[in-house]
Amino acid sequence: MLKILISWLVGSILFFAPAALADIPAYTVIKEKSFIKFFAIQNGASVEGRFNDFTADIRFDPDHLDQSSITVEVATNSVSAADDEVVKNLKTKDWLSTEIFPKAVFTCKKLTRMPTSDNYYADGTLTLHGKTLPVVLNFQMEHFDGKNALATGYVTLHRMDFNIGQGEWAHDDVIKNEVRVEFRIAAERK
Amino acid sequence: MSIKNTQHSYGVVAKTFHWLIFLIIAGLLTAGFIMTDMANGPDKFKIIGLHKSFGITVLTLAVLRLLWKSANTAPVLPAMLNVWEKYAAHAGHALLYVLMFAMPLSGWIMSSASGFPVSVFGLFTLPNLVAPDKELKHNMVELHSILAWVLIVMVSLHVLAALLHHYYYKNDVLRRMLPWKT
Repeated sequence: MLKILISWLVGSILFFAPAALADIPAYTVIKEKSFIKFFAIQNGASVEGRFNDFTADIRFDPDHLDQSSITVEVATNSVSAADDEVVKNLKTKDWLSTEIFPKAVFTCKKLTRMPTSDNYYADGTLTLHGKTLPVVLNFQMEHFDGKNALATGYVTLHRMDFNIGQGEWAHDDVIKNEVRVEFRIAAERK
Repeated sequence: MSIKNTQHSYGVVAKTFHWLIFLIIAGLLTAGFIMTDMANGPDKFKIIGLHKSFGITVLTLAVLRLLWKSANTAPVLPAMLNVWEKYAAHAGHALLYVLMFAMPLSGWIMSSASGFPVSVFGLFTLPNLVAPDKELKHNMVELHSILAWVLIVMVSLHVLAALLHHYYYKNDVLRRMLPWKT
């Protein structure tokens, strides 16, 4: 009797465990409905820019957050702003140095859902301008039905931590150290 | 010296507007020409920031000045002037007023169109007048610099006319706007 019970237990663990791991659904980003923007403060006024080219590898299941994963890759050369002069400068060595560091990567190490809400924290690392630092993204799952997902969120980065804005720009009197990054990611199940 | 204008002289308020706006405009023109030739860097950003702040100061002063002007009598022009001279004087002054509005407004539109909102001395940020627009920005840059030259010409003519009144016609037109004259 005991033997039967043990073999049944082992059998069910062997049967269900890999299934649970394999079942975390993958999502693809819907480009037209998504964006990554950033806001820098110069002379006290906010200036907006965005990254037009990015990809994300998303595996998400709200019931299995420990097995969910998010990786976002941003092509730094796709930076854009209203003013061409600004874009040109942002790509230079003093700023994003897009030729040497063509990619910025966020890798989520731990996803946490705030109790009884649609707010999540994504603890992870951001590799930007050759430096890798821990960051926490806050996002709200505005829509999730298992097929389509829409998340909006933000993170405040300190540009000088990533050596962005070097030389005479490495002061926060004209362009503030804090840069707010806002994102909206619409994704659908693969 | 009276606060308000009289038939024959300018009061303290009108003189203050005149000379304060003159000083700020002189600084704005100087900074404007210097900063456009500067290499990109924080110093350029700083000067542009100050240029915008003082430009909005002129716009504000121009509004207040027009309000004050409308509530005041203006000293009359000397009777010896002929009709076209009086017409030229009024037209010149009107154009200077137009420039006091057109310069800061074109700068404000330029800032909005290039996605750089105007912060006034870091105290508050003005709303954008238009959405970012590269072509409009380019046009506003052109307009702003053309208007700068029109302004320089008009201020020069204004000074020449004042000197003409003083040394050639020998009337009190220049003297009645002097800050120290009572």
